[in-house]
Amino acid sequence: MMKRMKTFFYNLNLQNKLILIFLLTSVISQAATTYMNGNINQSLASIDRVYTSNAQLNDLASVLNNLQNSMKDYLDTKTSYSLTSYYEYEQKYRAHMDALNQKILDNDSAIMEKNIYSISGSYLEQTGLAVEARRARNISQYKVYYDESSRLFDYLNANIFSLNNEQFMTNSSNYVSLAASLRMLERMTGVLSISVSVFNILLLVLLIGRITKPLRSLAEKADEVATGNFEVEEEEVRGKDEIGVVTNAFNKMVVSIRQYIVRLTESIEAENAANERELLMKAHLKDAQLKYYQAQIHPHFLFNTLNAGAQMAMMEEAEKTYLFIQRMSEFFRYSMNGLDADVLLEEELTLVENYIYIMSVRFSEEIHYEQNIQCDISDIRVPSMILQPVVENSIQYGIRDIDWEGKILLSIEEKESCYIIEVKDNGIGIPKERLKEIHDGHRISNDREEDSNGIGLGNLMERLKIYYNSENLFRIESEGLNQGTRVTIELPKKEEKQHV
Amino acid sequence: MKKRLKGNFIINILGLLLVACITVLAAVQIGYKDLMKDQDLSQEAGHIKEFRYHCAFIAQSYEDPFWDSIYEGARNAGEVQGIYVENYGEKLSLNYSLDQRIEMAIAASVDAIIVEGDDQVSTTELIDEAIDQGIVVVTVYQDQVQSRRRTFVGSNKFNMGYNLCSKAYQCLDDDSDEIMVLFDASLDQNSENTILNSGMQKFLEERSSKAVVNAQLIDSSETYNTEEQIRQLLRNVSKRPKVIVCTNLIQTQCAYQTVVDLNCVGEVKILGFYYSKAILEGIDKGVIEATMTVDTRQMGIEAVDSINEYLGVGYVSDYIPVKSHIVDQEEARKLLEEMGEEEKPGEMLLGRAEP
Repeated sequence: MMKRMKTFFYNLNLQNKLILIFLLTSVISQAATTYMNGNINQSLASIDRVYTSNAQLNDLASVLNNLQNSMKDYLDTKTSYSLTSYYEYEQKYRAHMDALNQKILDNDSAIMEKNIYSISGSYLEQTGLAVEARRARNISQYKVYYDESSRLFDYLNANIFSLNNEQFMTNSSNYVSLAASLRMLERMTGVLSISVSVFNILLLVLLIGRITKPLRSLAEKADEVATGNFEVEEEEVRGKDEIGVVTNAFNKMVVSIRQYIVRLTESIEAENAANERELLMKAHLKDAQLKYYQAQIHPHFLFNTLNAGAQMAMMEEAEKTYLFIQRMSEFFRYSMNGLDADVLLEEELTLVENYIYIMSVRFSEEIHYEQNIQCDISDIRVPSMILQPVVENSIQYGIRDIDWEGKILLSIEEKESCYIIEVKDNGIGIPKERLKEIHDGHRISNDREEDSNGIGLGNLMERLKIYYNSENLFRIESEGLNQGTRVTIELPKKEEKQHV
Repeated sequence: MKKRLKGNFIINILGLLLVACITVLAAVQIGYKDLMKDQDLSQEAGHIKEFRYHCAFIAQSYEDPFWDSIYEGARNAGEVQGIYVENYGEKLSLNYSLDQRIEMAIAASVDAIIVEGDDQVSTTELIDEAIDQGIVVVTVYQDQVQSRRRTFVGSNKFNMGYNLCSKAYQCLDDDSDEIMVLFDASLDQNSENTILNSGMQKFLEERSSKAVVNAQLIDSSETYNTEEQIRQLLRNVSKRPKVIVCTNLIQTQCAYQTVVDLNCVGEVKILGFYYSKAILEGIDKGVIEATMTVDTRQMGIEAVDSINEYLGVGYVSDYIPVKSHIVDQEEARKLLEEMGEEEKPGEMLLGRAEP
C-alpha cells in the first residue's frame, strides 16, 4: 500500500505534487483547528446549559406564582378573565411539570424534582377542586381547598427554592469546572496549534526535499559534466514527472557524449596510424629505391672498372680523361655512403666540386661556380647529401637553359647560433606557386630524372628537420622569372643541435 | 549517508510530534469527558441507579448524630432492597416541623414514611391520613401508639428505665436520694417517657429504696434552651442533684459541659443517653458515669426491612425490638480506641451499640 502510494506520488507531475503537499498540510491544519474548535464550542454549549436547570426552575416558580395568583384572583372575583388566566397557567405549569424527573433515582436533585412533581400534582388537584367549588358557589368547600392548595403552594415554593439553590451550587461548581476546562482547552489549542504547525513545516521540508533532491543531484552531476568529467554515474530516475524526464535526457546525453568521444578518439588514432604508415611507406619506398639503385650497380665492380679506366687513361697520357674518371669515382663512392650517415661539411663541398666538374664535362661547357667560405668549417658535421642536391637543382632548373652566363655562388658564414649556407644562382628563378609546392614537400617531377641523384628537396628538408630536430632550416627564395634563385640552409651549432 | 541520516531524523521527529499530538488530543478528550461526568447528574438520569420505592425519613433534628446514625442504617439497608430513603426536608432551606414534613411527604406521594413518634394528636392524624393514602408508616425510637402505624422499631423503654435507674442507684450515697431525670418537654405526653419512668420506679420499688425520681421537663423547642435550663438546674448548689439522668444526646452533652463549667465534676454524677466521642471521653475521665445506648443503625435497618416486608407481603410485626445497654468506663475506652482508627477530621463519630 505504502509502495503504491509512493509510486503514485512520484509519478505525478511537479505541479500536482506541490498542490498535493500543500493540500495535505492544509487539511491537517484544518482538521486540527476544526477539532479544537469543536471541543471549544462543545465546552461553550455546556457552559450555556449549566444554568439551564436554574432558568427552568425559575420559570416553574414564576408560572406557579402566576397560577396561584390567578386562582386567588378567580376565587376573589370569579371573572372569566381570571378563570381563563388560571387555566392557561395551569396548562403551562403542567407543561413545566412534565419536564421534571418522576423516577426514584439515587440523586438528591432528582428526588427533589420528583417530590415537586408529586406535590404539584396534589396542588393542581386542590386548585382544581377549589375552582370547581367556587364555580359551584360552594364557599365553605372552596375555602378548605384554597387553604389546602395554599399550604401545598408554600411547600412547592420551598421545594422549588431549595432545589434551585442546590442546583445553583452544583451548577456554579460545574461552571467553575467548565470554565477551567475551557481555559485548559485554550491552552491545549495553543499547544496543538504549535505542534501541528511544526509538524506541517517538517512534513513540507521532508516532502519538498524529496522532490528537490533529485534536482540537486542532477545539478551537481551537470556541474561535473561541465568541468569535463564525463565519467559521472547515471542519475537514478525516480518518477515520471518533469524532473524524471530531464534526468532521463541527461543520462542519455552523457552516454552519447562518452560514446562520441570514444569514436572521435578512435578516429583520430586511426588517422594518425594511417599517416604514420604512409610516412613509413614513403621511407621504405625511398630506401627500397635506393637499395634498388644500389643493387643495380655493384660498388666494387664499378670502382674497379673506373680504376682500370683511369689507369688506361694515364697510360695513354690522357690527363683530362684520367681526372674525369677519378672525379667520377670519388662522386659515386661518396654517393654510396647512404643518407643516414652524417659527414663533414668539407666532404660535402668536395662532392659539390666533383659534381660541378662532371657536369661541366658532360655538357661541354664551363659551369661558373664559386665558393665563399667565411669561417672555419673543419669540424662541422652535417647530414650527407645536403649541398649537392641544391647545386644540382640550380644547374638543372636554374642556369641550364638560359641565354646568359649562368653563375652559382655557394657561401658559408657563421652566425651566433648557426652556420648559414647559401646557394645562389642567376638562372630563370622559380614562380611563387612552385615555391609553395616545394616548401610543402612536393617532389619536383620533371623529365630530367635521368640526370638527378634521385634525392628531392623535400627529402632534404625532412632529413634536416629530423637531424637538427628543428623546423624552417631550409628556404628557397626567388624574385620571380629570370631573377635567379637563392637557397638558404641553416645549420644550428653543436650545443643547440638536437639532431637524432 | 549524512543526507539519509538527516532524512531519518526528520521522519523520527515527525513521528514523535504525531505521537505527542495524539497524546494531547487523547488527554483533552479524556479530561473533558471526565469533567462532563461531574456535571449535575440529573441531566444524565439514565446512568443513575433507580429504586422501586421512595421512603421519607422524618427525624426530629438533622444535626443530631443519633438520628443520623438511624438514617444511615436505613439508607444502606434501602440501597440493597431497592428502597430510596430520603432524609426528608434536609435540603429545604426552611425548617419545617415534624407534622409539616409529614404533610409534605403525603403530598409527595411517597411509598413509606419512617418517623419518630411524639404522641401528638396532630401527628397521629397525619399518620392515619398517610395510611389511608396507602403509605406505609413505621415509627422508630418513640412510638405513636394511638396511630395506625404499621410497626414500631425501638428498644424496650421499661427495661431502659430499669437499667438506667440501676446505674443511677449505684451513684447515690447516704446523703443523696434524688435521681433527677430530664425529659423532653415536647414529649411530655409521650407514653414512652412514662414507660421509662415506670421502669425506673420498678427498680426502686424492688429495692424498697427511699430514693425518688425527680422528672424535669426540658423545653428543646428553642435553640440553646436545653443548655440554659440544665445550667439553671445545676447552678443552685443547695438544690444541685447528685445524680442526673439524661434521656437524649443533646441533654447529655449539655450536662457534661455544664458540670465542667461549674466545676462540680464528681459532685454531680451524670448518666447519659447515647454517645459521641466527647461523651466517651467524658466517661473515660469519670465526668460522666455511664451512658445508655441503643443500636441506632440496627434501628434504621429494621425499619426498612419492615417496610420491605409490608410492601412485599402486606403484613409486618407490630413491634420490632432493638437492643440497648449501658456503656461504662471500660467499654468507653474500647470504643474510643475504635473511633481513633476510624476518625476522619471534622466528623463527629456516632455511637454504635454492641450486639
